[in-house]
Amino acid sequence: MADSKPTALIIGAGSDNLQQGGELDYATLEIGRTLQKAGFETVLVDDNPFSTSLDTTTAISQRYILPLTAQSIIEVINQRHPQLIVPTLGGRRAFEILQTVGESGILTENDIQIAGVPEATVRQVNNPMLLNQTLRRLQAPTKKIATVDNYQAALEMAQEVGFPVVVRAVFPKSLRMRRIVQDSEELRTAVSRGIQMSRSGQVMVQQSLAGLKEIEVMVMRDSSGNMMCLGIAEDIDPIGIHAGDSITVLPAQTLLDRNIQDMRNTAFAITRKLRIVGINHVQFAFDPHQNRYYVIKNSPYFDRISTFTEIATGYPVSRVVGHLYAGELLRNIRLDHGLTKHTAVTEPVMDRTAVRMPVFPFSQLTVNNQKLGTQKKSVGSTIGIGRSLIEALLKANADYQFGWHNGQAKLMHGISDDQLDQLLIHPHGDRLYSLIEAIRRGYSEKELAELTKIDRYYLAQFNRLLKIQTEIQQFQESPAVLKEAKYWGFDDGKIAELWETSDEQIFHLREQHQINRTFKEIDPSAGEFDQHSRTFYSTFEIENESRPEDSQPILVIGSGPRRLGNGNANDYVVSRVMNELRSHGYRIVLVNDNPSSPTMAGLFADKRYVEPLTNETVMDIVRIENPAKVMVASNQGELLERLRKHLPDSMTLLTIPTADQLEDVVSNEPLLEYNALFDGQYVYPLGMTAALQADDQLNYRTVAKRYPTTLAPAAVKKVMALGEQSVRELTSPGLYQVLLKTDPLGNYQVQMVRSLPAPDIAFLSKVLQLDLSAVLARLAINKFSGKLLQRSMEKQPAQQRTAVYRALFPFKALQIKELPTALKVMGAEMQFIE
Amino acid sequence: MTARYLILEDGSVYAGDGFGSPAVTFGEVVFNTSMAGYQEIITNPIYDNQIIVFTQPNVGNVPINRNIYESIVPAAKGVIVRDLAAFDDQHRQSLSHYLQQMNIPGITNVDTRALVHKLRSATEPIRGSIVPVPDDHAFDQLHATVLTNQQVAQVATPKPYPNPDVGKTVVVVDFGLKNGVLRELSRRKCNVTVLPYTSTADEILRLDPDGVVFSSGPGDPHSLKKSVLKMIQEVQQHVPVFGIGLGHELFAMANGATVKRRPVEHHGMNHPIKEIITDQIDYASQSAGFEVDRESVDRQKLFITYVDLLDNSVQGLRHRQYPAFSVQFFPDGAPGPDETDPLFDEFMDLMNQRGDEDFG
Repeated sequence: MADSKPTALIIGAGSDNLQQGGELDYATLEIGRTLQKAGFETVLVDDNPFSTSLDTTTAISQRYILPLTAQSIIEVINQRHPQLIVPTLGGRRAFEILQTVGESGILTENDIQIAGVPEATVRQVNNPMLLNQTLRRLQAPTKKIATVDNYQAALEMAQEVGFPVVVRAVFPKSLRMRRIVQDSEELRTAVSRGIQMSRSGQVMVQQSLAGLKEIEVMVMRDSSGNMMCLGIAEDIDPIGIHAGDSITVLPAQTLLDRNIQDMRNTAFAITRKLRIVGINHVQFAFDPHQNRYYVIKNSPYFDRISTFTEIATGYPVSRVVGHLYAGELLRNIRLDHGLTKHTAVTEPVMDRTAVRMPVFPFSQLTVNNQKLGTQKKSVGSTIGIGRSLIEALLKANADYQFGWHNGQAKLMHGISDDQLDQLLIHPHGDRLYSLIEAIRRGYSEKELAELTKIDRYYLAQFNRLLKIQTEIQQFQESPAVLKEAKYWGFDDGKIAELWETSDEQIFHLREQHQINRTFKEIDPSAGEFDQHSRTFYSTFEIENESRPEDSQPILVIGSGPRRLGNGNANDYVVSRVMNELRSHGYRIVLVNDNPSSPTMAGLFADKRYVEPLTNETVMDIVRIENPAKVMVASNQGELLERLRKHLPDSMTLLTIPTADQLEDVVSNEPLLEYNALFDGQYVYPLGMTAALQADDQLNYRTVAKRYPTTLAPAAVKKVMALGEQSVRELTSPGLYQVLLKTDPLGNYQVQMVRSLPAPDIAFLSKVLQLDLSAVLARLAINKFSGKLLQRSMEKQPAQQRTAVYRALFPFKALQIKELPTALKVMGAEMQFIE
Repeated sequence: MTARYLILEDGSVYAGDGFGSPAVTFGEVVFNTSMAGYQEIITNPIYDNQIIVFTQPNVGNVPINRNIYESIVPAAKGVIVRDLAAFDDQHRQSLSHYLQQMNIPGITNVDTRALVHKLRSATEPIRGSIVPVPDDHAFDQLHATVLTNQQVAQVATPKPYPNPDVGKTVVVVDFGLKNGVLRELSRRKCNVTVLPYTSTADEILRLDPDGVVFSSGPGDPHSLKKSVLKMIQEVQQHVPVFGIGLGHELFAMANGATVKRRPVEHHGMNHPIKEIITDQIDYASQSAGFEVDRESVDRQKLFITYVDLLDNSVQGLRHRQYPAFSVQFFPDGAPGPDETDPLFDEFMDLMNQRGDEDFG
């Protein structure tokens, strides 16, 4: 055993949900790859069919598709004898699982190291009470809480911390009580009510931090104790709105250096005390008026801010963490890809502004309560990078599907002042538009700051944005104003809307007046050193840094922010396609605007553009890159349509099937899916899946299925024949799915023939152990070989394992009731049953 | 806003919009990569005769704050940014209003990244001018202008002044002091007297200090009179000494080392600085146009305590014989990390030990 490779076991994140998604997949890819390069055998346990990591052997050496439980992890430990176990890529749950695993004694018995945290810290992460004790011992400021049994004591507490305070009943008899009180009268009522409701006759009086600034400090630490700050993110929205639903800005814009250093010191002290190796996020509530700050959360694991920071700063956060897990020290880590010798130990600085914009599911679901609060409601996010806050903000809102263009701003014109006030006090997902509307109606920045608790700096920017917009509207077709509009980040579509013309017209006007996009490289030293991340964003300035290369690349347009429907299955397909194309020697250039997408990982693209997925940016990138082929995620319908018109004939436009406008298929008879590959000549069957009956209803839907079906051989033959016949009638090569209904007499009827949906590509690839995305890629570059496919199909174990796929929905998390249709899928889990 | 231009000696022109004062100024153009603390940076006297380019694009987001000045009258010759915060120009605490009052011009909407690319590849300091029209006349003026090398004389105090407290008695020799140093000494209850840089060793020692700080300041240490080095040589024999920035460079020269110009000045707070004895890495505010030539350090007299890992520059020295040490970076931050702030405690320790010896 001594000369065999050490093994690192990664606890996966499981199905994508409201709290997490592609960002953990992204980080797993980077860390897995780095550990492999450092000589580790990497093992991943996960049950997420949409996981790209599970299928990427250049990052994960061995995968285990198992339910994420302590039992599974113990099983894999017994089989693989890892030296290292990684809990930081699976969200909070991985820590809970790891604690149970640790309690079994298996880690100590086998001398297995935990990456990132000592065992004591795992317990602290899982137990807020323990963590609070530690914070108090460190004298880190936390919010004040007092347990009292009378009004006088409650009042003393409230006077000490100031109103409002939160009153809760301790050990409530029936309902939980939580009330925010504003004055002593309200407090008196709340305390007496709370005492009545409490089994112990006590209430908890808590300082309220609602309305304060939310700040997140990211710290990196190595095993020798060296620490550095990777970034300080600021939410435009105050505390009271979930950080994941807030508009986040990197770097923080409205803090004094003194505030930054105080929070940095506290974040360092906590990270040191918890002996974290790798990344730690410390969240603060900051009160600029009292100049006080409070620690509100500490999370030593990867999350959406980790990857957002990685993309925005150009500092390869996850790769560096991989090196740290492999036992290296920050100062000794050497990063390739054009970064300088000591980049890993140099604090990243930015000469750009990045905005992370949450994407809400309100157009896809009926959510009655759209008020933003402490429960997260957004499902995805976009990133906008620019050279000013306004530019970054506009770029994060440029998406065709939900941004600036869907008329939200116009809709706001129609609402009453009272309605607007309500929206300002209780913000919804469209608050950016309600704020701008309020400014349009003459609210002062001061009034708005009081009403919304948003820093005046941001309000001043929104005000400026509105002024520029008004100016654009006033000076139709003025080249000078067009130049100004582009400088501030207005996209052609928005300008076209204001000038009541087409964005093509704006594009021409820009050509005519030489108003050209310039691309800037995202380097982690703000231009101080000559180093390259090969990741670019655009602006309209004088210097362009993106150059074409000798060989023509394939330009890949990603699937954008996560939405309900295919969710991260889209990213799965796109990244696997990129992976395959790259292995054939193509240079891959990616355009995407989703800061959580695994497509952004270093191992899939040679060059990246963090840009809105719009016609104008893609066309400007095309001009620089001169790609041989442009491959577009097919859910980018509007973009595709325009590119079809505008791309030069010399470039082949192809789609990557990720459509999220799936039809919802419901049937009260059993539903079967025949899956096949058609290469233009032959049909290669990829097996059949059967929809499972929903538990609480009689219908069959395609959101839960098993592979293979339980049909008798004769029936299989029949269905296969029907399916094959349907596919044969098609003209273009691709992966297809034929839906068939069974009637009570046992006859089969073809319901629909469609491209194999992304979730099925992801699931079947794992079941068949066949990279179907690679097949798609090969078809696209005419490298498909039926023989090869057959050979790999034949290599399959004779005894097929049965696999079950179940889609998951965000209804419970959003506190709504809806039918679980294919359009509303958030994520999925899969399982093999013996 | 009206158009303003930054013109450089090499003939290049960077266009933008003017804010602050409409004055025409000349200065060396340097860039600072800090992401916060614009007010502290602009008011640091080290920027005498210099035009500061901020790489962080959005500047002026937080209004001017009454208790974070690093000097009362800023010495910088200009401020170049990508996006000046959109406060009302007449907003009393806006950066624009402040610069107007201080007679410093600013330019916003400049492609500062392109400018940094030029500055970082220079082999010697690039001089520039902020002008309303980038015509031949403006360039002629720029070429004709001789920037003074007497920057310390411009910013340092001509007269002694006290900053009394109840603790150790400290003399700060002012070469262009930033307030951070006084703040740190106040925090430690030091009874401080600030003396002009022209003070002799006698004048300093006559105050019977427990220790002496040689402050940071602008410009080339060689442009100061040799008597300064003599003063340092004398003082270090009698009391604990702490040199910072320019004070560090002079301390090195007083002990036989040579100081050379850096091809590109470094202003920022993100470089890893290794403390050699502990092997720890710290981050600190750095602002340097010069550095101690490593080869010239007489190892019999001095040893190197800190090194910048990125450019390998000497960042700290300690005397082998005397209780004297110095650092190139600013341990008082403002703006910048507090990680090297314990150096002031070390200075206090030296003064305390000294006290013990005297009584022992």
